[in-house]
This record gives sequence, C-alpha cells and structure tokens, in this order.
Amino acid sequence: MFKRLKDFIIIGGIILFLSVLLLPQPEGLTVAAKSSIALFILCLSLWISNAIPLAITSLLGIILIPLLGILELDEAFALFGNKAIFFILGALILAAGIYQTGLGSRIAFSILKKFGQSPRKLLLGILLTSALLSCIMPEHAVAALLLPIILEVATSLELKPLESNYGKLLFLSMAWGAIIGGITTFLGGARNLLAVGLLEKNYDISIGFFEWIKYSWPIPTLILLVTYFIIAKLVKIDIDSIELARETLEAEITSRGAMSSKEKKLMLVLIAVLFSWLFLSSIIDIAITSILGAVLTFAIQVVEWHDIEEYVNWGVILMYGGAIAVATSLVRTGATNWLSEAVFVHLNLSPFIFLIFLAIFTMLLTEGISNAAAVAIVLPLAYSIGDIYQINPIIITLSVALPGGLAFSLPMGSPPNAIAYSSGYYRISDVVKFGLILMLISWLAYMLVAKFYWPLIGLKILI
Amino acid sequence: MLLLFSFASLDKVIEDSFKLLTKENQLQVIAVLEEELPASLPKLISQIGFLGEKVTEDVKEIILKEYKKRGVETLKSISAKGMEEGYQVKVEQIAKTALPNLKQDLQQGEFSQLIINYTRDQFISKDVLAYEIDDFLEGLDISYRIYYDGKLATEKQ
Repeated sequence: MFKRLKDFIIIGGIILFLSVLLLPQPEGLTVAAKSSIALFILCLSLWISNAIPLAITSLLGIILIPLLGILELDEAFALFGNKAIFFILGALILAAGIYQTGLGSRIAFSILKKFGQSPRKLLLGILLTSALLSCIMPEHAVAALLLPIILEVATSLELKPLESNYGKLLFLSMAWGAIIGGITTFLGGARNLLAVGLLEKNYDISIGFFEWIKYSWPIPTLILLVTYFIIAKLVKIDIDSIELARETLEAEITSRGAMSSKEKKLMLVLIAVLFSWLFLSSIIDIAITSILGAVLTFAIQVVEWHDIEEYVNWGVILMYGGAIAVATSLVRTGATNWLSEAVFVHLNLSPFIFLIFLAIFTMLLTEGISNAAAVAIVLPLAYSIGDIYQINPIIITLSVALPGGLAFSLPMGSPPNAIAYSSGYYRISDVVKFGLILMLISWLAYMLVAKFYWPLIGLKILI
Repeated sequence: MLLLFSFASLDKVIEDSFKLLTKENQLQVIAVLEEELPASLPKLISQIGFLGEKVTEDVKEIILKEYKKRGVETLKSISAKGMEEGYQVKVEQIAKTALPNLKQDLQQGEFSQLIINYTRDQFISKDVLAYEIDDFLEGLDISYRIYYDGKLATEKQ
C-alpha cells in the first residue's frame, strides 16, 4: 500500500511540475514565479515520497532554480550560505563529541540513578533524561545513546518483548521524552533552525537561542507533565520492583569510573557555548559561537577529524541549504504574494482558527514524513496565508516548527520512534492510541500557549 | 516437525507445537533472524535525522545483537522444555538469507509438519513483510499451521 502511495506521489508530483511549467501564465504571475511554484511542487513530492535522499532533492532544487530561470545563478547559490547552516554545522560537531566521548551516556546515567526507586519513578527518570538531553543534542542521538541503557534495564528485569507492558513503556518513555524535549531548543532537531532560517530569509527577522526557548518552553513542559500523569496514573505497570535494574545501572556507573579528561574538557566547552548562546547572543552571533565551540573541541583534542566525519550526517547540511533556497525562491519571485492574493485569500477563517489548523496539519504530516521535510513544505505556504491575515511571521514559524517536531506514533516521521520501535518491545498498534492522545494533548498545549502565553510575553498573533 | 517463529505471542505456539509432537518425532526449532528491520534503520535515521553513519551503525549493531540474544534465549527455553517433557528437540538460529536452504529441505520432505508464527506488525521497510514463504508453501505437499501473533490463521492437514 505504501509503495503504491509513494509511486502515486512521485508520478503526481512530476506531472504537476510539468503541467505548471507548461500551462499558460495566470494573470499577475511572472514566468519565474510560476516556475518556482512548479519547482516547489516537484521538491515537495520528492521530499514526501523520499524517492531520492532528501539532501539530493535539495541539490536538485538548487540547480533547477537557475536552470528554470527562477533566480540568477549567483543568487541561487548564495541562498545556500545561510547562517543557520553554519549553526547546524557547529552543533553537529559538538553533538558528535557528546556522543563519541561518552559524555552523553554519563549524563544519562547520572540523571537515571536518581530515579531508581520504583517502576513509575524509573519511567519518569527515562522521560526526563531523554527530554533534558534533547535540549543539548539532537533527539535521535539521544535515543541512540539511551537505547543500549534501556535494553540493559529491560533485560535485567526479564521483561518479555511484545508482552510486558513495562517493557513497552520503557522504550516509549525514551522516544517520547526525546521528541518532547527536542522542540525546546535549536539543538533538539535541526528543523527548528531550518524554520528560523526561512523566517530570516523571508522577513529579515531573527530569533535567538534564548528567545526560542522563551517562546517554546511551556509547550514541552505541559506535554511532559501530562505524559507523566498518564504514566503515573493511567497505564498499567506489570512489575513490582526494579531492584535488578537499579543494580545494573549502578554497576554500569561504577564500571565507567571517573570522568575522562576529554569528557571534562568537552563539558567546559559545552558550558561556555551554552552560556554564550543564552546570554551573549547579542554580542556574538549564535552561529559564530557554534563554530567556535566546534573548533575548540578540535583545538583541545577532545575529538579528531576522522571521528567526526563518521558521526556527522553531512547530507543534513545539503538538505537544509537546498530547502531554504527553494522556499526563498518562492518569496523572491513573488510567487507567495500571488498565492496569497489569488488562491488563499478565499479562505475564510479567523487567524487563530487558521493557526490551530496549521498546527494540527503539520503534526499529522510529520507522522508520515521527516519533520524537516514537513517544515520545508508547510512553512512557505503558511507564510503566504499568514500574509493575508497579517499574522506575525514569528507566530507562523513557531506554529509550524514546534508542532512539526511532535510525531509520536509512527517510525517514519521521527528517528526516536524508529529506534524505540526497533527494540521489538511493542507493536505499532500499541503506540497509535497513546500517540493520538499525545498529539491531541500537544495540540491543546499549543493552543493554550498561542492564545494566552505568547501574547503575555509580547508576541502578538497579528502584526 | 519444524517450528519457525517471530517473538510475537510465542508461548501459545510453543504449547501447540508440543501438543502436536509425538515421542517418535523430533521438533526442530529455527529462529529466523530478521536482519532487514535493523538494516533499514541506518537508512531511515541518516535520511531524516541529524547524526552520521557511525551512530546509525551503532544502533543497528545493538538491535541485531539484541535479536540474536533473544533468539538464543528462546531456543534455550524450548530445548529445556523438550528435555523436561522427554521430547527430542533440535534448535538452530539462522539469518533470513539462509531461508532458501531451508526451503530445499522442506521440498525434499525432511519435515513431516511445519509451524510458523508470523507477526502482523508493520514497519518502515516493505521488505520485512515480504513473506515469500507463503507462496512457496502453497505448492508443497506438507501439513502446516500458520500463526499470526500466536493466533492460528491457516492450517493444512
């Protein structure tokens, strides 16, 4: 079924791409703008279907921009040089260091050992550990890092895969903690940076590291609280003691010994970088701090280049650069203005209703496709509609990027889900019900924050 | 008699297999290691994720190791049950790539009865659901029982 749907999306995308290119020009739309819409449709179908790697679709987008006469060659390639890309680059190197030196696992063990008193507390510990780590490193790296630890816990408790309810909850807590925590800062998922990059290119508005947290934190906090309530009160725990797991964790902590000098040095770099991102971003741009932090890790010999080469997914840089270029070409050619005036103006919704539909639409989309692709697809269109209603573009950015990270059910949308699912402890059917509940809770949390919290801190819905 | 299994609700299938087994027969149990599932992870994570090949390979290795361990433990417990109840039980773990050899044995009439426990669960990779052995069984003169997640779905006497 998925294969047929995928083929349908690819073929449909190519037909639409060619049709838009060849169709007569509608009134008010330039040739370049029409071509940019055609290109966006093509990239959209390739990003959704994953017919070719996401990064390669982005590269295709970049070369088609000058080839189709959308923008000049130099202008198209210049769009790739976004500062968000350099922030991501530095953050990737730092995250690779956290993973490679074992500092991440050490932090995880330190938090987990404080929660080893009862089965429910251990679940809370995993949820929190995962969420906190996702504030400083990518959520899928957190899931990858926690996976062996959780497997050890499950094995020590002799939990039967697919049968033990506690086994399911262990892995779900890991995945959901990472997903929820991942929307809090720029570091949890690079889609946040992609969204901020698009905002900057389209409206010349920047959101800093601290500002993002100021806007985002109530949503993950509310979702975490409710998730914990579900775990603490509603789900059935089928074990009485986690003594064996506690012993396993303690043995693991003991065997790790004291912090290595590399871990200590990296910890210092991380503290300095985080401090600068949070409090000095008006003096030193966050992209500069990010690259400076990455350079420091090499300079003080925490990591070596050949290690980092293997730990970083370089395709992500290409994917993001290309996505920003394709989406920005829609704005530069006036395609988004035309879409606003000719197509979306007929939508008759109140701005707030539009925003809550936008949030749930992005959440549903990201269940089936990569959340970065979901942001790259939805955000340019959302800006077009937002312009009609005069909605604050920062609100639009947050309304796509934050819900766009919250895929709780299916493995295709979010790596933590895929990693947790591959443990073999639960079926998709086990997770869909809770995933839907969490999606609704997240939607509600988003609505509350958009309606009450953002205006309270001066972020008005309308410009 | 040959038993092939996934881990989904296996206890019921093991119980049934022992009920069908006579003291003269031998139960051969084969755990088929589904390498496609962990193998599809690196592709998925590297395409939609943030970190590189080493991390995704780490995850794959951890999962493969875990599957192997579970297979060995399950086989051990079936062996122990066989010994306790006085049945002849032979256990083995194979990769899915070794299935053609198994099919050859089935064609040559090495087994009197075949029992398979599948799972209906779906995953990222379409390959995981490619149960090509179903078509193969249709053309084979052997009695078999096919379970899905511990529930009997098809039976041929």
